[in-house]
Amino acid sequence: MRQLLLSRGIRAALTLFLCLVLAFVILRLSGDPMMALVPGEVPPVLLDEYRVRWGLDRPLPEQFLRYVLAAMRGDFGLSLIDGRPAIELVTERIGATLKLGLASLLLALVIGLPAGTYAALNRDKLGDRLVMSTAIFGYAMPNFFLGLLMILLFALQLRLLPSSGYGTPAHLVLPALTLGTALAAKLARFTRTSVLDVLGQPHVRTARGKRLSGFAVLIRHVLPNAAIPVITFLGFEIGLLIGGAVVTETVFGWPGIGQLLVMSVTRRDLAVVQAIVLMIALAIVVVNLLVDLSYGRIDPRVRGTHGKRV
Amino acid sequence: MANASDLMTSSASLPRQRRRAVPVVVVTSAAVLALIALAGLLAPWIAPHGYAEQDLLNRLAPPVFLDGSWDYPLGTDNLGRDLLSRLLYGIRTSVLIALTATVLGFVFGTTLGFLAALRRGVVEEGVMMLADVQAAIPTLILALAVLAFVGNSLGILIVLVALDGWERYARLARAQVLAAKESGYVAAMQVIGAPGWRLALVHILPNVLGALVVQATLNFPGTIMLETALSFFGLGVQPPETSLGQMLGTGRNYLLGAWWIAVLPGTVIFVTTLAACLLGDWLRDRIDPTLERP
Repeated sequence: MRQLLLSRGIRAALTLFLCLVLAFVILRLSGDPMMALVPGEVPPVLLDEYRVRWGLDRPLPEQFLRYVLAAMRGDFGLSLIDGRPAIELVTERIGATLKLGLASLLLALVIGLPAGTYAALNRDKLGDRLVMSTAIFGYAMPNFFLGLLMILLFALQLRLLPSSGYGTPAHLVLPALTLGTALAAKLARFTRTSVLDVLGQPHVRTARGKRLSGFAVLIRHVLPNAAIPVITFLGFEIGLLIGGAVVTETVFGWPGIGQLLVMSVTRRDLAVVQAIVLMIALAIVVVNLLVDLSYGRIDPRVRGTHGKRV
Repeated sequence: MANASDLMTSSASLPRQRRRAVPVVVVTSAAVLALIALAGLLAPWIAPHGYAEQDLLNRLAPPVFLDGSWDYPLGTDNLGRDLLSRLLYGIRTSVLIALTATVLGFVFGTTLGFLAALRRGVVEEGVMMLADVQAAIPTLILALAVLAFVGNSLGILIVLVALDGWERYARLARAQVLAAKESGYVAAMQVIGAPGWRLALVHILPNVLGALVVQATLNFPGTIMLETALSFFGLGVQPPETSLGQMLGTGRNYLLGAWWIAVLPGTVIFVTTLAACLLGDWLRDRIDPTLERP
């Protein structure tokens, strides 16, 4: 187990380091990095002073080292728009994005898991087909279009819910539905496959042979085993959730990181863009690391094999 | 691409013994995709108006089905531009970008996957690390960042969209090639002294291409969505050129009075991705024996 932890940790750290390299390279490709790091019109004397202060007069390898050290401290330069540290702008919006992301994830779990399990248990019957056809609609629907349709229907026509804004629970409904739909659909499809895989295995036949009730087989033997690939799947799809959040926040005027990213890209506020991209990479790598490590807890087989090797 | 589709059909129809009729849904999906591709292809000839032609006296005109006039069958937008014509040209741009990007990403990812499996060692480690990095940054986010730093052009847009999914081709190609290397025919070729490149291109590639083409089909809806999302933000295809996402982005500001400006291009995007999803699912079920009865 310790070996597993170590190798996954090293891999995650290496991935993050390469993301930093990538950001550094892209930053240099964009021309004079001072343009990215210093807000607005600054007198040339001050520019030179900043250049020295951030070590931009030094050779590239040294610059890179300083850049990495600064990034580790969370220092990504100043925002072009209001001159505050980029990281501050990002951290004050994390709450809103987390709220939206968690609500959508919860929605996807509540819909996707039972729907997928139900479809698997009723394979090729009418219920299965209904669930799976609905799922493919949810999965093929681009979330920016779904968001607009929701606004059109629930906000403009029926006047039930606000079309944009932040604050009350009512504001959360449409964005969470928009962001959660695609994930719920994907999750339902994946859960179905995963449950079907387990249903076909000998240990389930044994459990049935022991005359356990269908429900007991499902709860004790099928679902725990089907959960393992589903958790990996959710780890992979965290990227989908984050990408979707960018779209959803923009459509609904939700004051999160995604909206900030699109705004910053439009204004070429490079320091903020860079901070957000690296934060997202960090979040995804950490989530996947946690997923990898959670195997040991959920699946004793992983624990066992690695234990022996150590 | 012509070659690839030939191979796809030939390997897709391999298990002839238990051939089942092609479901109606799949035939319809294929027909819809063909129709959409044709509409984009013929846009310059069938569009009743130019896509940038403005008629400021007829702004926000309703479509025919809402008592509009036949001059503008699907109505006009905020600048009085004919929506039917813009839709046709928008399809042309979006499909062109998505197709080019799919081919690019396919070739790039597959090549890296082959190199990783055949060379092993440092090359393999390098490719897998790159794939990890790609997986750690969602393509939409990466594309937004590059557009902010480097600027926008059609070429950059295509390359960015092509990045979506290359790592999946690379992983799949690597796994498939590694599996193929274990099989008898490759060992036999090695024994008679076939050179490595010939082994890879002439013997292994045709055998693993089916799975890769299925992956491309499954990837296509995401590619369409990526381009339309970028253009929707106003960061992809720039005016006066048009794309489905850009039309949707414009229409978003007129939801209250003229909802069709957004709903028409949105529906076309949805129908395209839906048809591609259905086709991709069917292909995967047919070609992958482990998933044949999901």
